[in-house]
Amino acid sequence: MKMNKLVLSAALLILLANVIVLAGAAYNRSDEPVGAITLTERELRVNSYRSYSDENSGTAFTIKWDTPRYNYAMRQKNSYIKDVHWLTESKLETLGVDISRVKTNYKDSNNSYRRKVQSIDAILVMEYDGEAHKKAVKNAKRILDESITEDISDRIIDRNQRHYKRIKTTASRLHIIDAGTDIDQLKVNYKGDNKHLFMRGEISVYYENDADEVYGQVRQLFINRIHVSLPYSKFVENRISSGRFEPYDGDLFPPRYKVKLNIGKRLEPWIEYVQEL
Amino acid sequence: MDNKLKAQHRADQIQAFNDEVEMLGEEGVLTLEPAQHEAVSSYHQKLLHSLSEKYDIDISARQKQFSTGMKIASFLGALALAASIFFLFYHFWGYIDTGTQVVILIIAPLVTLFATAIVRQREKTGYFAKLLAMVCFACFVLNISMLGQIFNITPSDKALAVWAAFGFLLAYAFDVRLLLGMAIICLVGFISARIGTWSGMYWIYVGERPENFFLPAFIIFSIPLWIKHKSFSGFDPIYRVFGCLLLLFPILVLSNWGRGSYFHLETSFIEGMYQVTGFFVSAGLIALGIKKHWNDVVNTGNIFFVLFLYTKIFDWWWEIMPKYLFFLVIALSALLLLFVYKRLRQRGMVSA
Repeated sequence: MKMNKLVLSAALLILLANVIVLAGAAYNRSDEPVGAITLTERELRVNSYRSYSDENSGTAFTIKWDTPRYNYAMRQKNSYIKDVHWLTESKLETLGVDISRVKTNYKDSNNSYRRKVQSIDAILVMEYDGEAHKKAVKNAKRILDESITEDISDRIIDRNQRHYKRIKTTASRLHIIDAGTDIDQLKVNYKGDNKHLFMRGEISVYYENDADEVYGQVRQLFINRIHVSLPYSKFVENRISSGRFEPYDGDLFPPRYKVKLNIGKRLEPWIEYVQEL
Repeated sequence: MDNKLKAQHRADQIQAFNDEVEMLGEEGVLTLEPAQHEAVSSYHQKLLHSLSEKYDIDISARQKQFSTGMKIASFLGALALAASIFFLFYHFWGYIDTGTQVVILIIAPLVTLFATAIVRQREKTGYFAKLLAMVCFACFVLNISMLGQIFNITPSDKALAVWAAFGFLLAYAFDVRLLLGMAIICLVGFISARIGTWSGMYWIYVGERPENFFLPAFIIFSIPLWIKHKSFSGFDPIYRVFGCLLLLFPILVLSNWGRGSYFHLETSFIEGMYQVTGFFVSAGLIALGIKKHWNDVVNTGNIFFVLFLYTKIFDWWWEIMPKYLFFLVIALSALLLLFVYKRLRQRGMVSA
């Protein structure tokens, strides 16, 4: 093929790829958003590259979310984990995992470790400041009370006190509480209260040989960082200039901004506005 | 003469011929008649001149030294410029509004693409065009990845397919081996990620199952068998070496980490199976390379055969042997390999 033809094809490829990407972004934002929610600095932390180096001038929010970390040993020890864990075998089956096949394939008497066997691309349901967060606060309080009653060392009591205060004042109130594959069904299940977000993410499926048990763990949101464009990036940079939101020591202070976040048809987010709190 | 490599080979042959004729004359074995000498010399001069005009080859040892320097400078310059483009954008994009960002990202690869084409037509060595082509590729990668970030688009392995297609187009348009390598890496990433997805993994964890790379290895290795690269310098060996690496490296990993396999068998059995496979495949590639005169395949096969051998020796004896004995075994195995290769070489000389 002649050089000119190849160059022309390359130019067409550049244009075509850009058209597809931009059309996809436009489609995502067309019509009414699938979901809209107002979050604060507790849930959307500034990932400002500017504060750390001069190499990247962009600003992005990192979505902070919580979900129970779970494994067999944890369940034995912690009733809270058992209570809030929802990625059980029956739930995984509804997400398309063939539990009996996993058990047959991975049952291995010589190995006592847990093993990741599969990843699921699922629609995750995030609840904002709801029952899951209330349970997390209650659990932190219980841990603090137990440490005081059992008269454990001051260092551990201080740590548990700070953890409880953090959960109440600065920790994210977004909890992943459910997952599915059908967005319409999820919209019906969690409709109308502007307290739920739907985003795509990865659930890792593990097999625990000791307990002959299959369970899931939310591993990541596919879009964990949300780009902040001008003029909001400038506003946010000014708001956070007073210091780190959650310092390692010292006083914790309340969130400094709120963000209206929309979720589009392709479950991709965008920022409608950022305002002072 | 259909490519620069062949033209250079012919020029080297002429140089070697002249040196040999001179030596034969000094030793009194052969002296060409003045008329014959004149005719051959004049023919060679004309041929070298035309080859130099067409392919910008090196016709003296001094030119060759400078050419090597230019190749190294061009390679390093291309990589550094590509990195510079990334950092330049990252440095300033926070101060630019979204519309301008998008326009810059789309225009940058287009401008550098046409600049590359213009430079290629005006400058016959091709070094500057190759450098610009690399910058163009970097701009396109930046273009797609940054649009993804700006509009919060779900990351997808399909971007790898688009980058691969673009890389191949540039590599073939401007005869750039570095870009061919980049395009192959993107294509392999895409195919392996797809295989991983079909087997229930998220595409980013493509490396968790080394067997994902086997199919792309065969595809890449076989490309020179169905696409002829007469007018491209050194494309065939690049395909073959990548094909060999993509097959042998995962086998090497699996021979030491059986848990990464798709097979639901005992880990130790899987590792043993891949150790044996590694020896057979690398030996087979050496044999194939010798038969087809593919030095690149022979060398890659050799390196991996030795790696398989030494990882096995390490596994078996590092713990139980005193170190002086362990290294003595390594040295003896190297000597054994030397004897084997010497025998093969002699056999090759006899058959030649």
